[in-house]
Amino acid sequence: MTDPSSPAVDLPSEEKGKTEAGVYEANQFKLMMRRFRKHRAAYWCAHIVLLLYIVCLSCNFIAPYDPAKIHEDWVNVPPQGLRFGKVDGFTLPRLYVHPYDLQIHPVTLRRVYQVDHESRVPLRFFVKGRSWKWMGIIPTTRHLFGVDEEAGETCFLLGTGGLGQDGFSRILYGGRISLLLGLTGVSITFVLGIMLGGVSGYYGGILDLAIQRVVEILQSVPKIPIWLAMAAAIPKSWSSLQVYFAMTLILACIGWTGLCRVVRGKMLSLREEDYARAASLAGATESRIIFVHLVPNFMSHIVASLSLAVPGMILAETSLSFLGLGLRPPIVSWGVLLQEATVDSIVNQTWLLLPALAVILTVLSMNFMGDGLRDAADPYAD
Amino acid sequence: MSKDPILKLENVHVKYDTDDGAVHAVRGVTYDVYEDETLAIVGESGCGKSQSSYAAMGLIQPPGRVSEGKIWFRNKDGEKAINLLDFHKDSKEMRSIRGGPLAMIFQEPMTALSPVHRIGQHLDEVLKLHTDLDKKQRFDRACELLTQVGIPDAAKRYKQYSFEFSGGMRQRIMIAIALACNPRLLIADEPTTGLDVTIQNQILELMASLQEKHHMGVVLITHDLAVVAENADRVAVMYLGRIVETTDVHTLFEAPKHPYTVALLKSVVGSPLTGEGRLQAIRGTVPGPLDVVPGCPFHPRCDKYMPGVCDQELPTLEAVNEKTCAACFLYQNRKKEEASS
Amino acid sequence: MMLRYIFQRLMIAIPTLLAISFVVFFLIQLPPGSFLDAKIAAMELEGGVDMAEIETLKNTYHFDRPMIVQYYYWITGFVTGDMGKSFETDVEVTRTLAELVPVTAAISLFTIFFTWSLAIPFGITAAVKRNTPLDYLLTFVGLTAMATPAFIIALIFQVVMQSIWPQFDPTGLISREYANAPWSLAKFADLLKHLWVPVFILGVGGTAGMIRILRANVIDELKKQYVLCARARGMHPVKVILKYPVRVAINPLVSGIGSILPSIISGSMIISIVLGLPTLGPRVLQALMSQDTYLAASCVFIQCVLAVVGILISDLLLAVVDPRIKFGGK
Ligand SMILES: Nc1ncnc2c1ncn2[C@@H]1O[C@H](COP(=O)(O)OP(=O)(O)OP(=O)(O)O)[C@@H](O)[C@H]1O
Ligand code: SF4
Ligand SMILES: [Mg+2]
Repeated sequence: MTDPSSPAVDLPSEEKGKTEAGVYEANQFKLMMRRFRKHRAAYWCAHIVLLLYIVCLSCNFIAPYDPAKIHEDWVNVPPQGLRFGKVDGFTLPRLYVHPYDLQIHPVTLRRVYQVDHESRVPLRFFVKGRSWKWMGIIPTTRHLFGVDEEAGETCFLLGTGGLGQDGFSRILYGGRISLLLGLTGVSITFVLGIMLGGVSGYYGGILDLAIQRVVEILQSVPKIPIWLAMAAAIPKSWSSLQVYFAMTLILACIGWTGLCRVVRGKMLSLREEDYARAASLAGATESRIIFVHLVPNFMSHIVASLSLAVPGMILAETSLSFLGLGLRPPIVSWGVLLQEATVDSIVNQTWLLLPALAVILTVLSMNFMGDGLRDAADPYAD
Repeated sequence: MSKDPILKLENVHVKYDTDDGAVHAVRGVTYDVYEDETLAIVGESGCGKSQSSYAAMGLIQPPGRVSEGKIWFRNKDGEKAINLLDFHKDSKEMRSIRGGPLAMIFQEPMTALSPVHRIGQHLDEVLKLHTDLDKKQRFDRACELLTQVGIPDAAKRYKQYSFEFSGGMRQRIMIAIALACNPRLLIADEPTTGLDVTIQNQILELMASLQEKHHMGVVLITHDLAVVAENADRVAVMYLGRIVETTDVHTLFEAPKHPYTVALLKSVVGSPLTGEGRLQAIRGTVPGPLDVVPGCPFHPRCDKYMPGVCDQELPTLEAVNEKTCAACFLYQNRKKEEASS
Repeated sequence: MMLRYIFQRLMIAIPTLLAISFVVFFLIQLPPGSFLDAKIAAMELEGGVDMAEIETLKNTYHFDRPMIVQYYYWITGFVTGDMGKSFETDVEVTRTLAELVPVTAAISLFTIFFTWSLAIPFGITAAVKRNTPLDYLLTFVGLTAMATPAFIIALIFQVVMQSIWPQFDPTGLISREYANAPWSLAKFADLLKHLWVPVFILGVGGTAGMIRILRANVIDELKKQYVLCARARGMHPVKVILKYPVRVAINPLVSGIGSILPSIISGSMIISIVLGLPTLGPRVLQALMSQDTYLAASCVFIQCVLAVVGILISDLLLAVVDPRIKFGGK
């Protein structure tokens, strides 16, 4: 990288080293992306993942209802299927749903929702509703779609739960939490893993020994007790946002050890290679050597393994929240939503399993994408 | 030397169906090998030397296939030759030929042995497949073979793993395995690549002595013209999946005919054609496996290229004199001109 | 040679295990409050705090001493084989273990057997037939199974069972009529009748994962030259694959047995809870939540010991199945 014959670190040669490293890295990435694009399934799954993130992150705009809003009259309503056709009062055909007739069963006194096939409720676009802030700044009340709530119309596209909360909106809001949790968790894992692994592999000696012992200990202690103890240590007074970030941090603290070992191993083998030595001869600082010269070398591998770690985090969150050990209402996450799914509730209200479908779709596409990225990152794969 | 060839390839084609299109790795290879004779195949990397021998062994793996041609093999003298392509490549007949009368040594001795099996197990396996020897006899034979290829202390070595052997040793073991069942024909695919010169010579001498003893035919694939000069009887020069010249080894060095052969010889140290000790790399590069070159495939790189002739039609391999065949219009045109004038 | 190596490894493991034991104990005590506080609060709710009982509890378990002292009492007891009693139920920890571990281990071992017997043939098939429709199908089914949280599989399984076989109760391991009966052949048969449910549910995800790993390993090996060489010796291609690449590719699985060790004891907590299985997992979870320190710490620490021993076993097995690896070599 840096010219070993240059006598001291003068500014121009520093600059030169930087651009060269940059070009090298870009080429590696470009090559990886080209190979990735050839991987048809993985490439399409990457699009699905992107779409999921976009939709879930703009849940404020897309979701027709407030996820916490309780519709007392509309408890456990089956999904109202979206249809396309003519609606009275409009000339052009459009999207509509059939409304429900609420009846009380004469014997069991249970609520029965009968589909009213006669009438059609048109979906309205860019309607006004609850207020939210665009990009967190500009206040607005517009939403992508909705119905005339004043007139008593409803559109529960994916049904409602036991409290009469709109399933579709909750899945979107839950997705925002679950997807972001995966992403932020993995980012923290990434930083911890690279830093500690890099330091451990580059310096060796006592520092390496200490870090590796910690890794060993963390890897032998079963995950649930660590999780439980740390989760239980979160003060009850914390707001749901604080709890959420604490959870992310905990997941990351448990998860960094694997990456740390990988980075350390790579570092050990790279450290002895010529250009690291050349750089240190040229007087680059050690942290510079690690992060400018060594890390870019296996960046593509790390990106690939991280993309495989995100779905793991999402699954962990889902399972823990389902057990009541993770996030708790009023936070909405996919795991929290699935708390409603029990054998009895599913038999009667199959749509309560829909959040699981979202989880499966997400994790599946992420795994496909990760697989493709991993293959693409390996220059010797054919 | 008997009159009939042991192995005869006739217009063999190998194709790989890949995502990017069909790769035509071998485009019509014809050669024959006789008893006690060594045929060297030379050519640039990627020209299909290995693939054509895999075709003979029935080892082409999907998505590849032998798309055309005939491979005649004569198991015993005077017996009728059989076309190996008449059998499925994994049929009982093929399997009984492969490794028995028709054996092969591969390009990379370092990875040719299973890392988790004792080398004795490899030898035992081939003996079990092709002979009726019992366990004890197989062990004795294996030790005998190891000793024969110059591995001392065979009984102890028999129990060791491949990583305990050097590259030269491993290649000897591969030779021992290939020779275990006294093959009629041995295909040696660059048997000495990656070994140092002393070991190279030992291995080649070993092969030569074993050939003399068992009257094998040998197909020796190599890049190294020095090896050809010392070991081969006849030479086939390959270019882009085709044989462009076949001749005996003296004629090759004294009077090469095909321009590619000439260029190849000029690019080698110590060949008489190199002139004032200067090496000449062959002009241009080998076209990619998917590129289609019209006419003579060598014409973009050929010094003797004749516009209007060479880029029109594909020259076929024809006899130039009683010793040499070449696929080049230089020699066929002369005939044509003689005919027309 | 081997014994010396094991001895060395165990000597290195001892300080690590001591550190782990401390971490475990500390983690369990980390949540605010203690079992005693909760007990007093509960007594207050029922009206009337029994000071005498509190005193005895305090004295037996040293609640009033600093944590490090409590730790000392626990760990010295543990290494001498006395794991103390559960605060909550006053039952010996060893008795709880003796009661729950056999069932847990049975489920785990059957699951491993199930996983292996499916994953090995399918993994090899997928590798050999790679990039064919069969491989794509296996890949897709496998990835979907891996993407589905285990509790969802359990839920769906229960719902499906309810509709196709209503008489069968997929939860629990022992039917009601045998619940308190002593062990007999009939009770054992009843256990087997229930056992396949958790084994199946737990096995689905594991099998899928293992198929992926095995497939990748076998494909890596299939590319190697020695496979071609074996075929050139005239061996049948199927035999070649079973004898060489599979033999090499299976090494990591064989040595992976070690890492399964801790889960043999704990089982899968989530599945156990969803299916109401009497395994150690849910018991430990409960103990963790109520800060029943002796029970929780002992169980978790046993798992840690098994994890450390498991790694050692893995390394030993790897050295046994792969001649390239020598004891003590890295
Ligand atoms: N699996 C495959 N898929 C596609 N093409 C292949 C495959 N295997 C070989 N080929 C093609 O076959 C051609 C000939 O390869 P071969 O190994 O016979 O060359 P070679 O002459 O032995 O070269 P070398 O001297 O390097 O050993 C190559 O150029 C390659 O394009
Ligand atoms: S045919 Fe023409 S181009 Fe081809 S080798 Fe002969 S002279 Fe050269
Ligand atoms: Mg070759």
